[in-house]
Amino acid sequence: MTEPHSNSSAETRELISFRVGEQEYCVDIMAVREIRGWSPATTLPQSPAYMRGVINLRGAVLPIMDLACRIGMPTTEPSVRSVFIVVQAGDRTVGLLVDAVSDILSITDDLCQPTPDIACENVRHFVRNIISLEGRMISEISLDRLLPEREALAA
Amino acid sequence: MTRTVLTVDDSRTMRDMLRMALSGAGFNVVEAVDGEHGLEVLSAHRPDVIITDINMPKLDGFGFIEAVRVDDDYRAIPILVLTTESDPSKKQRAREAGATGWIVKPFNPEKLVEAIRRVAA
Amino acid sequence: MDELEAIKVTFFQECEELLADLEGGLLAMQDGNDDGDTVNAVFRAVHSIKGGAGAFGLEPLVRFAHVFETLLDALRSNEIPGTADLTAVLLRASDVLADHVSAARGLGMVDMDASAAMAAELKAWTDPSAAAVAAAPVEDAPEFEGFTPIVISGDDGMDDDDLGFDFQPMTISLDAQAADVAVLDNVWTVSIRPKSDLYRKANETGLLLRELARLGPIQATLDDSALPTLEFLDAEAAYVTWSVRLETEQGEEAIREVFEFVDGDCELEITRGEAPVADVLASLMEVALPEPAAPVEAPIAVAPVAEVAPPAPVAVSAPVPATPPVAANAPAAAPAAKPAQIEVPGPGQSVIRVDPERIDRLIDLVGELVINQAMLAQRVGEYGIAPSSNLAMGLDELEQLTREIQDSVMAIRAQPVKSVFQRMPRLVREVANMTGKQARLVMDGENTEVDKTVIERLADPITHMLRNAIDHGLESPEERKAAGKNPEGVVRLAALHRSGRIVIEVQDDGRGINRERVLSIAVKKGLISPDLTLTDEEIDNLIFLPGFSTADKISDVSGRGVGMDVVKRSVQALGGRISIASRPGLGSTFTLSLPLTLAVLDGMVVDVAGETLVIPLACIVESLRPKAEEIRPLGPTGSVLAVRDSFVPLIDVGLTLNYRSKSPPPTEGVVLLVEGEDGSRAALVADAIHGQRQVVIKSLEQNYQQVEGVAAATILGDGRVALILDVDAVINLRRRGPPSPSDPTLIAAE
Repeated sequence: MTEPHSNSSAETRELISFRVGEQEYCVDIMAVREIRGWSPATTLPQSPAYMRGVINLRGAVLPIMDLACRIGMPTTEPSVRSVFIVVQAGDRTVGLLVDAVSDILSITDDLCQPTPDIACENVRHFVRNIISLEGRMISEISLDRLLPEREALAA
Repeated sequence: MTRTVLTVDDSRTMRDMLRMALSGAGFNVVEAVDGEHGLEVLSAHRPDVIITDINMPKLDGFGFIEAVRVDDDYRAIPILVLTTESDPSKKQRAREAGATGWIVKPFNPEKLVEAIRRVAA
Repeated sequence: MDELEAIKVTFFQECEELLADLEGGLLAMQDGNDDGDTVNAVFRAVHSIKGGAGAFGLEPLVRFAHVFETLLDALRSNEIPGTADLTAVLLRASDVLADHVSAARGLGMVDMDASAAMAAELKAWTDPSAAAVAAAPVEDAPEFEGFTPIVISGDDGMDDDDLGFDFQPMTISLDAQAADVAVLDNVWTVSIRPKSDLYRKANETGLLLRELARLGPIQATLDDSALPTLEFLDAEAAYVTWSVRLETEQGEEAIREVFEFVDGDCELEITRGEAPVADVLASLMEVALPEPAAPVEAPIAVAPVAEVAPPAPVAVSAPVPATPPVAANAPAAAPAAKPAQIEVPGPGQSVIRVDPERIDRLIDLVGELVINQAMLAQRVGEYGIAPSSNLAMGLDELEQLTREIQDSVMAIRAQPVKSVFQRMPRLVREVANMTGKQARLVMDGENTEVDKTVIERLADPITHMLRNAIDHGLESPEERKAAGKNPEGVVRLAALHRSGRIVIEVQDDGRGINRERVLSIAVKKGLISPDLTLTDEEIDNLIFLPGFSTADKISDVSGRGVGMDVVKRSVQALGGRISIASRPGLGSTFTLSLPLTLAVLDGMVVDVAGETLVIPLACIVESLRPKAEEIRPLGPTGSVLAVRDSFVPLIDVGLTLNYRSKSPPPTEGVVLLVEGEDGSRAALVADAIHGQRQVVIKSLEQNYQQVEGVAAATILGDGRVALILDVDAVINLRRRGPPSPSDPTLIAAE
């Protein structure tokens, strides 16, 4: 799909951008394992609303997170265009349910701006920075913050 | 010209230590887990030097050395025995059995290689 | 240094094995099975631990092992007699040694006082005078008497041919400046007269000369005046003397060190200054030995001699043709370069060491295969293909094969329970000591194999059961005598396979359960209602109730705040069961059964509110279709199911897991009567049952986290994820709801 990072083009990063509702978000392409079409997930009981459940990804149990819901927007209604972006977040692999994948961006750091100081705590928490590109505003997701800390249940 | 050293020791730790020291010094290492096994490996690999432990199951170091020394094909192979704290009686018995020299455990790699140099053509 | 660390890991693994061998050997000796091999093996175990420890500079371990080894050495050479007392000491010493190993590994501490006391005790066994004899060097063998001439078979004729000439004295000048004969302080004369033993031990005068040459320039002269004429020549004897002029800045000690290995095998004279050697310089042959090089590359000094000096068939170490020149002296026509790492399998066995991760990966893959095969079967079923068709039959065969592969792969990872069992003799000794009991441990079925996922979980319950058996089961020696029993109690630990599970039994021949006392404690602690009539078996199993502990005071041994209820809970968490059978005055038997693996699970597949769930079969007592008259409302929202004489709370799984907000009438569903970890029963209501199936357990935590009410996940034949129900959590979730009056029937009844 794309060349991996090479150290010669140190400043250039590649991102995959996608739509969540009417907004554009993106994640670093290096974190993306694959993109899959929507398929129904097995519901997890006792779980937050943004956890859509788990699916079978070639034998591994993959949690599916509704990205819109996670960052505080209304729950996504899956459609035929909906996809999972399978990303690596720390030592865990997770599927992000988004409305559609837009494109692959090649950006340099000078296009990045700090997240504007708006009231929404979710946005400040999950958006790493804002990228301004050809009049578009694309928010880069901070993957390591998406999944809740593992909590051990009291036995 | 890589020389082959046969190490005979029932302790995996000791075999690993010897292998590390010897491989590091450029020797080819073959291993046996006791005297009986040593004699089998001997015929398969024709080592240039043998390093053997004394206390081993099945056939101990003394027996192994004696068996090597009565075999015309192998009697000229230098044999170094591993001894602890230069135990004089064991060393003496090993020499009587035909050991060429000895290495006192714990050994360091330099001493080991030096001992081999001293006995190996 | 990675390699060294890796060896250290190996060392500690080996220590575990050696400690087990040591203990096993000592126990065999205790039982009177001490042939010479046993005591030798016991000695070797300690000796090897010491050897490895020395290599890593683990001083306290080395010191203790040394004392231990010395005593064992005396024992194996019959200097001291083996007695029951001695074996008991050795067993305790083996425990201390084990502590030293653990401490060296960074696990725990050694009680240094106890260690020193033990060491002193060990030393006391070797009578100082006897020890002196043991340490005395074996008397030097008479130099030539001990030497058996070695006949070179079939070589006689050749010897004659080859030796049909007179030896010429020869000098090897090892340095161009050797002619410079200024008498200096740094000039030494070394006279070497080898004995035949020197050659018999594969030492070489040529190599000694090479070593001398490392100290400085040498000039060597060979005196063959003692060489007999051929007919008197003993091919195995030594006749020549070397005289070496050495110039070195190093002292006599350095020179003597060169001859360390041949001490006693040659006459050696080292004098300062020049020697009168002129008369032997008459006929000589000069060979320049190359500078000593790095040992590995070192060109062999000897071979060129033979080339330069034909027709001499002998090398520098001339007079002894006993040395096959090619094998020993030639620069080892090394067999084609081999990689340095050659793993030589032990004789008669071929063992492959495999990274456990690779096996785990294989097991995962086979799990996938099982799932895929099930998916395929389901699809084929959906097409309505006749079971007798070739396709369906082929699929059946595939299923069969898949099962076999799965079993075989699981067998690779299976390990004998020995690794757990072998820790137990020590435990029994310690607990017996602490409680003043006499106990003998008998073990059975140590080679019973079980998956490694289970083996790691066996140690705790077994430890508890054994502690309990000695502390509570066995009587004191006095009581036993009074009861006409052997003062030494017997505790039997056994492992066996039974109907696809591993069964562990811990049996003691103690007093059995005091039912009266158990009953009164249970009532007093409010665990059961006083007017309840219980069978003997039910009373025995009361000890598994949470909060039950028969010890009046929490003893150091069984106590530690841990009762049998905890054991039961941990066993049930693994899909296991535990029960007790007791006969007053004759003893008790704990029986623990666990699945053979935690990688797969037998489960019941059910439908709940449109979701598919798997309920572990181990929890299910029975399944039934409830009749309306068996369901009784209790309180504002609750209801119970009448099962024979007892009332069991009804739990709608869908409601409890928040799959739905309103329960359908239980009569429309199926009830699974389950037993929780604390022995409590519940009637789980599901919508439909699909049947029993073996499923591959998948972790939810790997990519997410634990979810309350869910034990794990699995993948079903349709490729979808199904959750495995955590029955205990579901019961607890339910309890946390509106508090329901505690049910007096919530007791263990196996």
